[in-house]
Amino acid sequence: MNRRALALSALVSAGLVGCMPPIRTTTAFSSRFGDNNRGRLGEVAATAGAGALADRPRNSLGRPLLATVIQGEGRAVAVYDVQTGQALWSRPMAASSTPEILGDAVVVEVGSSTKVLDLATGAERGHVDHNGLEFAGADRDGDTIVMCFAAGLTGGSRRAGRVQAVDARSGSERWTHEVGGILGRPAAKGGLAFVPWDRQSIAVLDLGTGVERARLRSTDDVLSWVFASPQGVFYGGRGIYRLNADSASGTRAGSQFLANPFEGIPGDPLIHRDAFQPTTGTRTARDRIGFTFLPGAPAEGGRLTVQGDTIYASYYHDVLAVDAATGGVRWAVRLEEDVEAMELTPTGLFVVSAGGHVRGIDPATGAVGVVSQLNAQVGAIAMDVGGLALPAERTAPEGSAREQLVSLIRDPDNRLVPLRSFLVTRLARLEDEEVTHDLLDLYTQRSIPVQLRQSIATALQTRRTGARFLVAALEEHFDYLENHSAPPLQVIAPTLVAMNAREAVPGLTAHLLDHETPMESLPDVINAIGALGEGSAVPVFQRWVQMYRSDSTFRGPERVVAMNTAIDAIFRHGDASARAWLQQLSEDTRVNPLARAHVTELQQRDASDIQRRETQQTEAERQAALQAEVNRLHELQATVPPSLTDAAFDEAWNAHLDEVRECAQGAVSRNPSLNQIRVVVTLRSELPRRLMEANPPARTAGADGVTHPTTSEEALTWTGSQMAALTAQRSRVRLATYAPADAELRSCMDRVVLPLEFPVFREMRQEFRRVIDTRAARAQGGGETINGLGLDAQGRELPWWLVSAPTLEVENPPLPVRPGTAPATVRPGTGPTTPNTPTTPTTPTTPTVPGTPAQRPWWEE
Amino acid sequence: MHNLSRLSAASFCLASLAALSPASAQPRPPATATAAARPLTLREATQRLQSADPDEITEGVDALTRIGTAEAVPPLVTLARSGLPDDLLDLVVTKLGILGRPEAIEELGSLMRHRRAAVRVRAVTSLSQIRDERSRPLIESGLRDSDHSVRAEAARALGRINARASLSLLQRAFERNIPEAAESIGALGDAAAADRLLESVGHSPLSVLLPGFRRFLDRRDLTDPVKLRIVEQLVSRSPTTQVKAFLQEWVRELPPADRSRARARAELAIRQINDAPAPGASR
Repeated sequence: MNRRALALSALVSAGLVGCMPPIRTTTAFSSRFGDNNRGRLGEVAATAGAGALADRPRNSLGRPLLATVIQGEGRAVAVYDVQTGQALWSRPMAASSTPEILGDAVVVEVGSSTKVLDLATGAERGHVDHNGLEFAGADRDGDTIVMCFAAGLTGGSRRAGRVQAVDARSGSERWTHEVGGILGRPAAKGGLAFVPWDRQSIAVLDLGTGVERARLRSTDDVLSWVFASPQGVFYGGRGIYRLNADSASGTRAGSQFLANPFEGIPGDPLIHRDAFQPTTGTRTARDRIGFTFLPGAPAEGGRLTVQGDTIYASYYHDVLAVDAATGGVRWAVRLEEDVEAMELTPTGLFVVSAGGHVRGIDPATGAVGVVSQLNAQVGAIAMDVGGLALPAERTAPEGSAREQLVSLIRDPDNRLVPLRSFLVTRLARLEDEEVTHDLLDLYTQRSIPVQLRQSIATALQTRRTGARFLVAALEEHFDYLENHSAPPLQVIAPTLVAMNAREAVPGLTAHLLDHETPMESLPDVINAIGALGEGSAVPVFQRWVQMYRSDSTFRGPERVVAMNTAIDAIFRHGDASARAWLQQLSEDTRVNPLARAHVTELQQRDASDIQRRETQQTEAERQAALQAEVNRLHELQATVPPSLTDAAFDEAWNAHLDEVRECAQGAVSRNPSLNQIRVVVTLRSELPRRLMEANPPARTAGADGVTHPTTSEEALTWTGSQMAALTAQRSRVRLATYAPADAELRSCMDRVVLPLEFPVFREMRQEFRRVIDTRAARAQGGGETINGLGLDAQGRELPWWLVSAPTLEVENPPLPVRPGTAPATVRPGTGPTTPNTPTTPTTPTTPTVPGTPAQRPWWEE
Repeated sequence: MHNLSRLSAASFCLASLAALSPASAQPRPPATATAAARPLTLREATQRLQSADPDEITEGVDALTRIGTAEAVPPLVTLARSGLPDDLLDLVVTKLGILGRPEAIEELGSLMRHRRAAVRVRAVTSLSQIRDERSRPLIESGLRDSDHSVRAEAARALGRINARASLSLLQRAFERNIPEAAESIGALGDAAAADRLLESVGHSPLSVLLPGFRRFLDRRDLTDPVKLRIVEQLVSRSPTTQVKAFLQEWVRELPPADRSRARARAELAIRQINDAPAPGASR
């Protein structure tokens, strides 16, 4: 392609670029965009950057300027040089927002559009139509101004927003996003726009393209503003956050955060101007109440810091410096005029009044000097005064911070009563003893409004130091001639009690005996004397009650309160003689009947208290006894085994061996060849489930059948009967079978076996098998044995059914000897019988088939 | 003597028989009747004070007052502290004043701090009846009371007891709108005090001031020039019919032999002051 064609195509391309419409992209504010992404937020924070505070203004003229709306009939937008007080220009227009100084431009809302004016001349460079929305605010970075508009900023059901980037010189649009939510005043820095959104999120957009780069959403706070400074980007609501990677946590705890130490100030201002609250172009009360601060340098984790560790607050004509960590007031000044605008720079704190006075305040000391006079009635002020020096002549506030606070509290300006009440609470936090004196002094001022006096009374009662001032105040008494009032005893007396100021008793007593002490203060005084003096105060109370016991002074339900309070104190702190004295008082018909009734009531209450305590004591003892019995029941229940052991079975079985032997004898006599009798005993426990209940029932039926909560006595009875029943419980023989099937044997054995009782066990049934070996006993080693059987290898006497084929001492008839039969098998552990012992049976033999092994007992099979 | 003893014994027997007769079933004659028959002793009067019957208490108080010795004071003090109903306490306070014994000063001082104003007023009055320097400061304290009746009685009492040492306090009290102090100032004050009171003409009501000036003018210890100045200043500051009537009354009560210049000036003023009120004149 030749050069001409190239040039032509370049020209066309340039033309196309120049004619390119603004970017309208949906790549922002999408519901699918992931918020709180640590990596993205870290990136944008790094991109925005953080550096040192500049010691010069941000505007293109490099001069300390302020933009304002001239108030009054001839409204105009004007820009002033703050140093000289001279206006650069003034343009008549019906501004309806605070004009913002952004680089070389001034942005201000006028009617239904927002104008971009030239900073140096005020000439209009362009404007942006609102299209039905309200202007929320603007900021600038480089040659781009970003603006936000919204519907619903001042109420209404419609919620819509628009963020728009425009060329700072021409006002032409670069990109726009329409959003179905409310957008607030944006910030711009490092090629990024930070857009607060629905008080919950901040969308970070690329300033060049409008593409969303990151999004921050809070999960435990309201995000009402964002601003950019050389120190970085900051956002928040009541507190301050630094935007960095930690912001991805979305929580206060996880972010770099600083809470407002001066929270609660009347008017409830945020610590930075609310981005969702449009400015109006007029003076508002909101402008006169606010905070300012300079963020500190970035730090790793932890608390966000501010410069000088100080935050500054303005409230009409009061300005205070507050410790950012503790909320303690560093200094407080009262200016001659209300503050309409305030800005903090590294060189000073600057305020502007409605009358156009610009004052500089030393941030460290509060010393105030006049910078300049604008000679105009101003409002809706924006300042850009970085680098402006404080005036050389300054007047420092008098006294300590405490005294300065007191001075503000004394301010007779009734607009400031809420602040004065707030400052009273702050004053009361100081530990200085003198604060108690200050509060007392404030309280006694006649000019103090009622609301404030109540705040002071409340604050005074929180004090724990400075008792000496209150005690000294007790020296004051009413004096008509000298026009002295009594001290506020209703406030002082309870405070002295809280301070445990026993040295106050004499002074309080003097007021008790002073007829000028107001009736309504007497109860507080009496209570204080009683609490601090205890028993030593009783005689004073007795004399006082005695004096007035029949006097009309304390007649009536309202007036008798004080006397009854003294009676209470005597009752509480007095000894037996004091109570006897009260008893006499209650019996004397000449005494004030309400006082007498009160004594009686006290006595009855005391008696019922004693009775209640005794009842509680008795019940506690019953409960303890009950618990001991229940524990015994549990122990008894624990002894019931799941199943009966052989030893337990044998203990009962052994007791009836003689009877069993007789039955076996009978069987053997009927059947001489009988070797053994097998017995199977099935026991049945039938343990009632209720006997294993661990605890007494919650309710018990009365005689009338109606249930009631179980008393201790009833529970005790229940427990006893459970134990008795459980102890008496037995398992019995349900079934006994015998082999061989000998009816007489069965009959005989049944008479022995069936009535047997055994210990109870938890299982329903259990079987026991016993074998009676009816062959002759084979005693070893002589000596009598129970069953004639003998001893085991360890010399222990053997129960006859445990040894293989135990024998029973029964007389076995001699068996006929058959030729060729095998000799009798001798069981191991036994020996031959002694033939001369007629009762010793011969060893029975077990016939065997030749070649077959000796038979093993059936239970060994 | 022996016959007298017999007579006394017979009288005693007759009296005893009378007591045992059916007539003795009749109600006991009133205590006063008994008291009228024979004054109660100190012991008897003291015992009456311990009765539950208010009439007997009253009888005892009256009896102690009549006894009037220092020994009568302690039982009355004890009674005052025992917690009496209003009327009895008021009676005791009053009687302590009538007794006039300095032994009662301390209790009366305490009663000046009683919460009921009527007690305090009576205490002031009673203190003024006790001729003892210790009463004066206690009476003065009444000027500081919140109740106007106490202040008024204190102001009057200081005048009654001739408490010249309290003059400056009375002047302060007058300036604090205790009108009764004017009369006492007039009773106690010197020429300077009169001048100071004259400064109030036109600022305080004449009805308050004139009693004070009357006291000044009635005093014999004040010289004629002082009285003359009073009349002149009064007339010049307030040439009103009220002042005219005041001067007329004063002149009328002067002894005929009085030829003082103050009188002459007053008579002149009486002739000069018209009955119709002068324009702008203060009343």
